[in-house]
Amino acid sequence: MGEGGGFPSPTLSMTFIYFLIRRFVLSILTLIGLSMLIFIIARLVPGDPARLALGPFASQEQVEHLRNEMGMNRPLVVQYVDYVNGALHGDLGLSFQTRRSVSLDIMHYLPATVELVGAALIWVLVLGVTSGVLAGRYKDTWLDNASRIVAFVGVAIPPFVAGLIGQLVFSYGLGILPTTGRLSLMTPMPAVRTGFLIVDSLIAGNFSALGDALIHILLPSFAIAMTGIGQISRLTRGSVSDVISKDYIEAARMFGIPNRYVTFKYMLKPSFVVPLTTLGLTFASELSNAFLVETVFGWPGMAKYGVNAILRKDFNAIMGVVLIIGVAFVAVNFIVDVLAGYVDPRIRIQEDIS
Amino acid sequence: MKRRVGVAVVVLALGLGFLSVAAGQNILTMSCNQEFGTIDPQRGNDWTESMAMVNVYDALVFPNTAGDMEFKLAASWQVTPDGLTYTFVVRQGVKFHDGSEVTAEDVKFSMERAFALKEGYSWLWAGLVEEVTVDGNRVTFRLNKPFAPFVPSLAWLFVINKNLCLVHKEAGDSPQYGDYGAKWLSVTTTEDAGSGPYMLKAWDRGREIVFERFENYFEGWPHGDQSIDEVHVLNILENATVRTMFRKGEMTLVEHWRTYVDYQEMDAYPNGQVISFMSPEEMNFKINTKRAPTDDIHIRRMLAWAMDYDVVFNVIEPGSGRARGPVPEVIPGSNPRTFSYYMDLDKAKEELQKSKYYPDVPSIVAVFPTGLENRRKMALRLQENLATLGVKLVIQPELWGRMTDLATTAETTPNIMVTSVSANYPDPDSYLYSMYHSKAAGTWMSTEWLQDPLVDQLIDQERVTLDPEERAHIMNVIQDIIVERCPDVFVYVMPLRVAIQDYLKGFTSRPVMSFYYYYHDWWYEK
Repeated sequence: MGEGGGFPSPTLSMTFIYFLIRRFVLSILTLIGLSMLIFIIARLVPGDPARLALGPFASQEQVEHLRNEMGMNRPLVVQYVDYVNGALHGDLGLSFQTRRSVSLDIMHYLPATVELVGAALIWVLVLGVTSGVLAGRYKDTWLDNASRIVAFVGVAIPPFVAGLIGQLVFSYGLGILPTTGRLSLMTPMPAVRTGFLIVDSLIAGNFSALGDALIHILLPSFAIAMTGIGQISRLTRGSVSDVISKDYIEAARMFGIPNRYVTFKYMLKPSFVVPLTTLGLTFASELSNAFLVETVFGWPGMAKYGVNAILRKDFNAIMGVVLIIGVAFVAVNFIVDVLAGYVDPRIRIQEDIS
Repeated sequence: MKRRVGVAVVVLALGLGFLSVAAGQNILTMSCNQEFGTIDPQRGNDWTESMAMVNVYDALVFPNTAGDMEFKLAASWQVTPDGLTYTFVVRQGVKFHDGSEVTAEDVKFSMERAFALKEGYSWLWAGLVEEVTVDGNRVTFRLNKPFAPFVPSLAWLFVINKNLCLVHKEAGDSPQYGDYGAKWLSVTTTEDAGSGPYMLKAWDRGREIVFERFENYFEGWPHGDQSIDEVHVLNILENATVRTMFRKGEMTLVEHWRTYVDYQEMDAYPNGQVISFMSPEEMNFKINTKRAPTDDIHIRRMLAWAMDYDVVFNVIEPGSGRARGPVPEVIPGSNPRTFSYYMDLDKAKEELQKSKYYPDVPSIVAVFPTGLENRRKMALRLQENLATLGVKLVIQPELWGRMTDLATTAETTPNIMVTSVSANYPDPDSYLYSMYHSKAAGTWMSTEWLQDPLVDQLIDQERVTLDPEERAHIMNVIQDIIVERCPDVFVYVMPLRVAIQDYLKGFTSRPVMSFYYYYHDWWYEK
């Protein structure tokens, strides 16, 4: 109770604001450190990118010409400063492999990976949280045991193996899902507006492409999501079984509030803090899983582009991919911190008690 | 209510997705294991880029199955007796994809563009072609020295539409031609500047590239409605995925980069077959002749006698051909009488005992590209045999990039590099010069570091010898000398295997990289 009686009015605590500002600044410093580290590592990878790009028969004169064109003969510090300056203006340099701007390459490949990982996150949230809530709500019943087994299987099987099994069963065996790619050959590609096929199809009103895109994303996104579903399910189950024994839950039941509301309105929010904070790690894990799953499904995403860049020592492309992943990872974790504060008022509200 | 409408939309969309139906054209789908970096004819060089260039562009000449050059854009050619001037008559009436006519000026521009961009196959003519002139529909190349394989090399001079390039030119090094349209060709996904039988229709990088038939192609379409209308080249790394698609009939052709087991399985499918033909690619244990102990010729011959060739042909790489010296037999000019080693540990021991390092032979290091397990198996077998002779072979996998780094000096090149080499033009010179001439040293193709004055002299001589019989004799002598010097263990010639659906006809092998993927040859019989 505050001064003057009544409940204290909740305000965004200054402590939380300072926390967010500090996290933001640290994020920037993290990205700067990452850029320096990957700049050096990319250049330590064995091989001469100019020679690799031009082939073994190119003359030394040709190799030197390409090296000069790509600025490789300048001092490293100058190269780094130029790179950062360009990156801040959206220019991530030229790719040795494609001979075009890395920014353009990433704009082409990134949406496919984001769409795939985004779909996987939806699976994680929907299936992981739902099964966790139900398992916690019906603790030690057959539902809880079944959820446990499914979660362990999801965590134990590597995503690319899950993808291959899914292809075998649903594509080859049952023939109900496609084997590879984002879209069937005969489905006309909608005009590219965002690069997200599902969104572009909706914008174009192309329901044939929309349906085709949804069918194609089912298997690969689920394969990526399996590990996260298992993890989130178990974490949610633990949180729910902890919250369910609280007095206020019992009080809500005694007041006659339906079980459905008690579960999803009163129990879910406080139970969700722990899984939510794990989502950031889940996202990182999904990004790394995407590398192999994209390979299995021929998904034309940034992961494949990144692997090719490493094999060909296309260091501008390596840097571009790593920086984008770094930015995404930092941004997601920042958002998770903000959401955690929203979900758990204790984090963002400080009552004045005097 | 809104929620129910949303669910209905998704369900409807899923239903429509299931109903996607193939159109009635002859669509061909083929797999590839790597992305297309570029299809600019003066920039591309690897197998996928070359495949695109072969189909979208035309050159003056084109190799046939035997490796001999036939007329393509050239109606005829003449060469002066001194071998310095080649004049080609360019066919008239050949159209580019934009409807304009191919002229001798376009040929000249293509060569100049190759020199200006300094990429792709320009190395074939750099330091050789002094001047290109045009007179009506004749284009003349003046060389600064005779070069016997000049005409075969022109199979890689793809003719580009000069006017179209200049319309799209941007700022560049050339005051007159800017960047020669290079930037435009690097970003466009629907346009090309070629005259070939297929045009670029769409390019979704990382997913697929699509070519469509050019109806007005100057050679016509002898198979009419059975010809291939559209080709979708799908970028799929995973072999299991490719096999599944082939089995389901979703993949018409599986390219030659899958494993032997994959092809065995696909050959057993009721709807397909595997075609196998000898390639111009040869797999060798390339020996550094300047690094101890393989600087000793007896050690090198010991290695050649100790290799288990039968295990390679029968177990590790079934269907492969025995290598006969440095030039595969599919190449015109390969010496049919070159000596071939066979496994004989007694002879290996004899050579070992003649070595200056005997009996304390230092370890021999063999490096192979990471992931190529068959090469590791060959090296392991050799290691076993050498162990019986008391010689230690150390086997190391390395990243390809690292191997190309190591190859730059004799000191850093390991004793053995297990790599395969192929020809860029169907002539022994392509192997002999790139692998053994001192001026070609420093690349992964020339890790022998042979640097033999006699071999250099003979290679220089064959390059300027225009009489075919005399030149063939010189090249036979070079091949014999090289086998005698033993800078390699010549192991096997790689078979190329492709899996095709039964209804695909017309696949034609050619001894030049990617020219066997010439879509104009193919048709459907359904």
